[in-house]
Amino acid sequence: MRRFVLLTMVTALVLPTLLLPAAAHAQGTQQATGSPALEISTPFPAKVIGIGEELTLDLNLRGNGSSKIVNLQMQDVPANWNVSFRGNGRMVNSVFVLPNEAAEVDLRIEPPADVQSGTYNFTVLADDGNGSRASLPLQMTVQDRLPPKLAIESERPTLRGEPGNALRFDVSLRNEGDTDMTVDLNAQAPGGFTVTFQSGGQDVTNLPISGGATERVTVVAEPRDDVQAGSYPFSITARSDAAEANIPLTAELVGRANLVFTTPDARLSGQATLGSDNNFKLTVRNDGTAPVRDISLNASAPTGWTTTFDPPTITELGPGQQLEVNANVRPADQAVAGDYVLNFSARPAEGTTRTMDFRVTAVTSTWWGIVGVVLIAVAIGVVGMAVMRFGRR
Amino acid sequence: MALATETLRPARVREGSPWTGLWAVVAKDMADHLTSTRMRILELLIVLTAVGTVFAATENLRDTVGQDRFLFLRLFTTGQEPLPAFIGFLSFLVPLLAIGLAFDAINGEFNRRTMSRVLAQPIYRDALLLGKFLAGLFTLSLVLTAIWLLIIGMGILRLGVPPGGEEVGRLLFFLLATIFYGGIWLGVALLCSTVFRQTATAALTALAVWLFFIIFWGMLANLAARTLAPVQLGTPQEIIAQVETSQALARLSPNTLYVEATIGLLNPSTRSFGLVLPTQLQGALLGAPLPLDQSLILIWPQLTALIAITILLFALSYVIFQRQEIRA
Repeated sequence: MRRFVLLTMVTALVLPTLLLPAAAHAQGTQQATGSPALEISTPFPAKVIGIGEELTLDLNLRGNGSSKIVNLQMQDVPANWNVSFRGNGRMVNSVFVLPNEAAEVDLRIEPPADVQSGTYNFTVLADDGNGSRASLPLQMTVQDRLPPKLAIESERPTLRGEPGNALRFDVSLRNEGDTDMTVDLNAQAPGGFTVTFQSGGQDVTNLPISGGATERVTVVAEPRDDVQAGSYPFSITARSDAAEANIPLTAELVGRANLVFTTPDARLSGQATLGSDNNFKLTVRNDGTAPVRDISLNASAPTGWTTTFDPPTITELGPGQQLEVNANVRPADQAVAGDYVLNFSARPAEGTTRTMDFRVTAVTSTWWGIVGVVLIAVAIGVVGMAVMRFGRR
Repeated sequence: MALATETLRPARVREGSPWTGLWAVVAKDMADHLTSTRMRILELLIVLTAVGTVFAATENLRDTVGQDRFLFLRLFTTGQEPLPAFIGFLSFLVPLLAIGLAFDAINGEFNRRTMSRVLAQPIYRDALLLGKFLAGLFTLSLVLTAIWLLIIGMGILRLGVPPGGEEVGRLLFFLLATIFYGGIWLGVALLCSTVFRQTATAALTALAVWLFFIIFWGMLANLAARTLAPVQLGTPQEIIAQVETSQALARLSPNTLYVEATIGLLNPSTRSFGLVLPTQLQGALLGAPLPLDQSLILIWPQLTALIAITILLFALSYVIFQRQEIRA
């Protein structure tokens, strides 16, 4: 009887232990056809990050049967790594899982700053406290990042031009690193040059370049009009927080002659007496950077007018030189008084001919006016003689 | 010898200045002129013409001319249909006024039998004739200056701008030319009044001379030029010669002289009155005004001729008057 009691007690004790796993197994097998009692998943279980980056993984928890509270844990976390579960932005330790509904939680992994590159394995454990468990192995590869680096190059680093005309250098800037950067552009320009940078037709002083991308920049070097001919090297520096690059460019200026034809006081009008020589002073000046040679002076005047220049030609006029020329205008004797337009021109052997419209007021000599006065005097004289001759008492 | 000379030429010795009493005659005659009904009618006519034409001209100028350097000169030269410009009226009203002033200057005195009374005073004939002439000229100047000022005043009122210095200079010379144009007709009328004893004859003769010059002289000059410089082959030289002859003859008329002087003064862009060859215009800026001194040089012959003819006509009247017999 005692043996039976013992047996029943043992059976009563053992049976549940024997039965329970069987029941659990039965439950598990029952769910194997649909879904396990607790499941944890993430879309990308193996991720690659760079040194210094953090990682956030989306975890999905799904259970069936009854709703349950699931505790979350991490296994195999290396030292100094910070790992936390977050729900709605807050750190959480457990998740309430409704049956057949996915619960979402974020896993945030923060490697230490001095992390070594390599592959790290973690496991996420989910446990509802009632025997349902699930685990999710995760793999994280920490990679060395590319160092920030800038490259700058130009296909045509030397350009040739005239003073006053802008030289446009095409320069390409390449960000050889992975990280985006903002690049400041600077130029060490020689005196007399104004250097600006253009991107997309707009003047810029800095521009953002994303990692691995190339930007084209136009360097506009504008020499002043009076810059002497010669070769002008200068360099362009592109600088960001972490990287710097520069490129030497050369502007070669050729000389240009710029003839200016005017009068000393810039007045383009004058008075000329008919039938006599009238002198007008003209100036020929070279405002350019190269000498002008063999300037011949000409005038187109109305018929019967003579115009001579002293000197008639100028052999050479250096840069910045000025020469005064006398123009002798003799209007035709039978010309009618009034305003006329004379065209003076200075024609250099090479280059543009400069012309000047000169307005001449042709005036009659006042000498003939005296004749009229004499006529009146004669008339008065006649009266006087008549008074002398015919005056009576 | 001295005594012999005295006895040989007693008549030639004059006592005192021949111009004694000149200003008394001038003052008396001017007073007569300015109070006479005849003058009032003529003056009224001219004033009405001036007001009418200038009113029309300012209407026209305000509508059409925005920017003009010589706005006041346009007052005299702008006409509005059907009214001609004021200078057009002046060229025949001034002779009328001048003839009206002087056609009975001498023979009127004879007819009223006052000549001997006047000459019984210590006044030489010289002073009497010159006094009458000057009185006419001064009256003419007074009337014309008054009208001139009236027109400029109206211009300032209606145009709202004052005249510029050059405009005033040109207008002053225009006034001078107008006065001496009147002076010529005054001389003609004075001559007629000296020659003819009947005032009506003198007036009609003076008017006939005036009509001859204003209407027929142009045609005659043309006809005479055709005879004097005929165009036989049609060469440019012949045509030019004929045109120049015709112009030279036309300039014998005081009317032509006055019109040319007026155009030269009031139209500053006038460069020449004669024939202008295309070669002379090459390079010329047409429409550019001449400076005042150049315009004056251009019209100087016309202006001096007007003055000289006035003086010579007076001299002629003087000689005839001095040789006349005056009886009580």
